[in-house]
Amino acid sequence: MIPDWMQPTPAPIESGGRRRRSAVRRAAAALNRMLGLMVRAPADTRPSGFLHHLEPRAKLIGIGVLVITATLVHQLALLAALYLASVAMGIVSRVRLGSLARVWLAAPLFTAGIVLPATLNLVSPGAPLATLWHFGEGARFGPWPLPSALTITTPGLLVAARFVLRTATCLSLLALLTASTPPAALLAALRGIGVPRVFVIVTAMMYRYLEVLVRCAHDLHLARLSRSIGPGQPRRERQWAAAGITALYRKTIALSQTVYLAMISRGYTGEARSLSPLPLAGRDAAWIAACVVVSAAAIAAGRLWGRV
Amino acid sequence: MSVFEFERVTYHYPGDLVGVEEVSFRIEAGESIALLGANASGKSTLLYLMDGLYFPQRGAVRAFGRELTERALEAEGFGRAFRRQVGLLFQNSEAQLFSTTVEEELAFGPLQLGLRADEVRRRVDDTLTLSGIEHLRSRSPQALSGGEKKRVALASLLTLAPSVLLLDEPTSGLDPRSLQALLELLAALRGRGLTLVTATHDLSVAPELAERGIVLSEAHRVARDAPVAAVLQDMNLLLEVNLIHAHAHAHGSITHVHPHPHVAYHDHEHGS
Repeated sequence: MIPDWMQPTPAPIESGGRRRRSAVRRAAAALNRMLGLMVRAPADTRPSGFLHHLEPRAKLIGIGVLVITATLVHQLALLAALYLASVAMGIVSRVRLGSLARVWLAAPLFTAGIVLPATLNLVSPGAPLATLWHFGEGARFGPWPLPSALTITTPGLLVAARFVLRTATCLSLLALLTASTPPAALLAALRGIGVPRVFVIVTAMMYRYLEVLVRCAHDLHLARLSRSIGPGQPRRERQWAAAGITALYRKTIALSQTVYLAMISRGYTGEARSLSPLPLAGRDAAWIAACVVVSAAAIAAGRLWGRV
Repeated sequence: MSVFEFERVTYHYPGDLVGVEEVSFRIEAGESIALLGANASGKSTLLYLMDGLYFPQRGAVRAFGRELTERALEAEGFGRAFRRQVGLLFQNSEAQLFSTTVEEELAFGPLQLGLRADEVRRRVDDTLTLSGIEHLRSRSPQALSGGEKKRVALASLLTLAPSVLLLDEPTSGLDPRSLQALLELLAALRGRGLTLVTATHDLSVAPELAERGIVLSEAHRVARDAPVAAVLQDMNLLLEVNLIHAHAHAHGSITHVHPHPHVAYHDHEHGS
């Protein structure tokens, strides 16, 4: 028998009141965004431009060579040329600029913020370019003596500019690689260039099940939201978050055990085997050769001109 | 020679949770069996025991005339032959699809069993076509629908060319079109002489999947082993093992109580 208290009673629906977003709602929204990115990612890598048509192994090798070059070259002009080349490749390959703009703009700014202290005479002594503050003669900070003025120095600025350009170039190249290659193809390419199978398989499974667990966490949050009114007490929300983590951990363990059984069931005995990749096409070989030539030319030019 | 022979098999999970208790039966080659039982009656446990993933604490499971033990399966000859012969479709397709693309998923089994790469590629191509999932070849399993996942999971077993298929709730969560496609594929496989063992609590599909029914009680024991048609007519048994329900309902002026082996539709004479 259904108890009396379960009888539906119309409740007035009131509007208004102060709006405060709960931590659960914020987390659910973040998980939803993450799910959207994970599910949409393969669609973003549909073939459209120059880079998309290259074999993933060739792309990985070529971009890897360029990244190594960016770490070996010291001249600002060469680093800037590599950076501009990566931007040009992105435009020519019709990679979604929205996703790359974040890397092209935000990465240099963020890196500049980190490297800012290196521009000062406290870290990089040298010829002053601009004075920021006068401490006066004999100034001290606790037991440490201070220079008479806080200045931006030429060597400091060069170090910072080199660091920012190098980071921006490497990130831009890697962003091009991930934006033009589906994750599965990228993992297969890693295996194809000789990265140990066990590493690739563990990474692939981690990527594969991350989506499952994010979806599970998202559902947990939605289930909680559907039974709550507004934000709860912070202490209660923290308790619920801890309980949610425990539930998710248990599901993870159960899932991992079933996955292992499914692998054994299909003949896995501890050494995973996979299909060998097909040979590279002429266009792929030409791309690798071009990257190697550019790299050798940049390094040789750097040696000839000496450090700027 | 029997494909499977269960002799007074008992399996308990850690914490002394009963999986199956004193279960005995034989399955011959080419038979199609429905393992029928309510939730948590031990159907999946039986499939795991048949697939050599669990091993009984008491009694013995024999496959192809040889006792299934960890040691026997670790012996390369028998272990490899057994894994080639027997495929298990897990209830949770998510757990079964662990590769990054559908193509790799289909290639996984044959590669582990040491088939040559060109033979693996041929099998993958043929199975993709047979299963009607050629268009999913390069897709990631995470981007597939529930029905597609089930089809890919089944296809990943077919590349092994097994002679025995163990299916754990294969029809759960499928839309009508996916269900029909799956039933047609399984019927075709039965026609080719495969041994099919299907665990299900869906009585409406049991006659389409099997000729013989093994009913598990809520005490995790075999309650009946008979042709599916006979099992489905045994209303008292089905009520007792919680596979059907009985309730009062009205047809015009007549109100009566009778068991329901079906969910949505039923057809019967009104006596009194």
